[in-house]
Amino acid sequence: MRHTLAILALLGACDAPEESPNAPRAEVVQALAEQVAQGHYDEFALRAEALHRAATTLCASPDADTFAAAQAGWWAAKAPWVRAEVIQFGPVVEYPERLGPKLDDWPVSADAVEALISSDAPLDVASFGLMGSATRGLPVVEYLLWPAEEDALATLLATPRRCEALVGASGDVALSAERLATVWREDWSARVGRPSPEDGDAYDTVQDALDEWVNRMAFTAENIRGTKLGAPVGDKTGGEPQLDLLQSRPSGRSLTDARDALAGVHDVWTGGAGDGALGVSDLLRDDPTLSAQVDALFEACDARLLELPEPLEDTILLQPELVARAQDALLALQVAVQVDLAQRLSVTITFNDNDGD
Amino acid sequence: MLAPLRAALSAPVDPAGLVVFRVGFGLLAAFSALRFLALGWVEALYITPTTHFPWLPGLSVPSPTALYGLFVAQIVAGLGVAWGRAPKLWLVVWLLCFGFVELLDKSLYLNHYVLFTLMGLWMLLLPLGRLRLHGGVALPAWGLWLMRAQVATVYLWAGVAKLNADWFLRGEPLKTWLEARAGLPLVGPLLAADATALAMSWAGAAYDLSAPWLLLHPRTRPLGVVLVLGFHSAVGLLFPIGVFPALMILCSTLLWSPSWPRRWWGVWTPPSLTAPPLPWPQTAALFVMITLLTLFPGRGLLRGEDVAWTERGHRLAWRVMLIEKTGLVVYRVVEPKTGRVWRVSPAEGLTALQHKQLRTQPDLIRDYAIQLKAQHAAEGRDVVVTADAWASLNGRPAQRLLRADLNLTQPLRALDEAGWILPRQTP
Repeated sequence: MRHTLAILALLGACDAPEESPNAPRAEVVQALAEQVAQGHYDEFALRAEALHRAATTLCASPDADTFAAAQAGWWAAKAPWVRAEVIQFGPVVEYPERLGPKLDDWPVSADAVEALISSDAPLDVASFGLMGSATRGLPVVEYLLWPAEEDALATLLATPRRCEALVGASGDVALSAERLATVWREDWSARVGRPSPEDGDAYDTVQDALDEWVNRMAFTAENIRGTKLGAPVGDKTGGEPQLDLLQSRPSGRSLTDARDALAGVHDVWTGGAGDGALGVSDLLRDDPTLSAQVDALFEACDARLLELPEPLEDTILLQPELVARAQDALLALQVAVQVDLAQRLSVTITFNDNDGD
Repeated sequence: MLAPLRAALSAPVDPAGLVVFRVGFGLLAAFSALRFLALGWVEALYITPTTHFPWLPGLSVPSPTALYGLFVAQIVAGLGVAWGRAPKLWLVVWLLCFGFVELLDKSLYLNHYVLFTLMGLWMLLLPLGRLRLHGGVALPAWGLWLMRAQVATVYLWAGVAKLNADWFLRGEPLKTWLEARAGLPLVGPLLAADATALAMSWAGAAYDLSAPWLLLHPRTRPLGVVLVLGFHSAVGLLFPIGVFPALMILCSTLLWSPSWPRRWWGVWTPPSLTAPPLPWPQTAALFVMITLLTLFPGRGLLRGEDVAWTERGHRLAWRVMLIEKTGLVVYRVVEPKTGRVWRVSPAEGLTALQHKQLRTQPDLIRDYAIQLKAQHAAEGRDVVVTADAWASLNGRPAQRLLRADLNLTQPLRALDEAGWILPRQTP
């Protein structure tokens, strides 16, 4: 026993931590909050405002060009929003803001939107801000810009209230996006980026915040595989396609949504493209094998998604095997993140909010 | 030759230590059940889940009212055991309620709940109601040694399970767990150092293997007590393991002198009459029982495989704090007749805790496959269920845990013969 204690004492004495080539976890967590998340939200706010301007212009002088510009505005605004899908924490889901459903309560309720247009309820931006999630957000704007009817512009202009609703809904999206960027900058950026036990928040330590990011990486890969691809291809229905479950189906953006969501996960991995960007991969500088493996899996996923012909609904019907290949690649990425990366970084894997749906 | 042993087994022992243990046991049992109610765990663990993994086929979760009743009964029974009037009756009530609840879901298995149950069972064999600090009867020595054998078994098998390369050479899984606490002020960098994990691993194994002897021997007992208090307090602070530290500290008192409470409660007067030797049948039964309780936990060694990886023989074996495992499972359900395929994530039908347990434990993965088959059978489909399952153990790279080509709903014997659990690849 005396010898054991002596050995332990000796071990304790020479217990100086070695210099690690990895970036400090605190710096990575801070960079993810202040650069990656803030970057996406700022970009989303800018593009949502541009969408609102385009919608306003369209309704003021409707023609094919302004209509195409409004559609392009919606398409562009969707990119940073979907790229930020990996950030399923903070003001997107937490009260009092809980901006996620206000911005993107999918699938759209066509009946609710048509009822609103048919009513005499006010349709200005402020009124949309008081509505429930069924009649506001990006899916409502998509529904108005890509109606089921063949002549989309004529449908939009069929009644003045339709265009009025487009301007109001897009303005509401712009306000919510601006609110999201502001709340993240002024509150959540510090709560997630510089966690402290004193503030009584969900993240007491840097490890808590890192756990969140790595969990979200895995869950987002899972959601792309299971929700964006798997559900419409019929994973839950024995292979019977469920095209109604395609996200962004009216606009034909389903596949781009999937790629943007994957790009968002990749941003967390690399820290994005900015100077001095820090991401989760910077915590693995001492493990180039795993780091290279994850890089390769991201590339494989990207390649598999790129090989899917547009539109995704046709591919689901005609070449479901290609969708399955993309799903397999995403599953391999999820294994690397949820199993390898989580073990390597001492991350506790929790629960995907989409589980149990 | 065995006559002296039989006489020694029936020798009278001061019941004071056991009386204090009974009181502590009852209070802890009541506290544990109260904690379940107060923290909403009855709802979260038993009522909310739509799927369970019962230990016995056909066992199902009762109505919420009955469940809450079972926990309230545990509180009352626990207090009854502590109180000391008809303690065996209360103990039976507690054992039935607690044991039934434990059998409801394998995914909620905890070693210390099994220890709790066994200690309660062994106490039933003692003249519990007549053991008092003053008056009453003496505790027969066999009773004390039965309880001691159980406690020592826990420590020793916990120690033996740590005699492996992961624990001794890689400092795993402590290294992984302590790295997650690197952000703690002051001690964080120290906790994250490899040497700290190694030192704590070695100390942990040495502690487990030596604790019973240190506590039994009067000269080393003070050191043993300090170590027990220090170790379990530290573990309780670092890791969320509920009432385990309190239970182990309480159990360790059985290894002290049985008269230890006399320091505060006066001297014990041994009975004047010598107890008759323990009859042969009881002696034989006692030896069978002690042999079983001491050897059964080692059954996993018989397979010659890494129990931490396969988890065959992991439960009911006192293998504590040995595994950091993460995993991922996706089921593939195929209807051969039509060729239809379903991909199922188990998380869709399980709670977070159940899913966490399932994704690394082969028997739970198989149990859920059988449940999926039953769900499809209820809709008139005959399906084959396979699983893509990966896992990583103690920091190793992920690898497949199960063969992906086997129908997991086959009988277990057929799966075993087919080698359904793949061997660990990385040394």
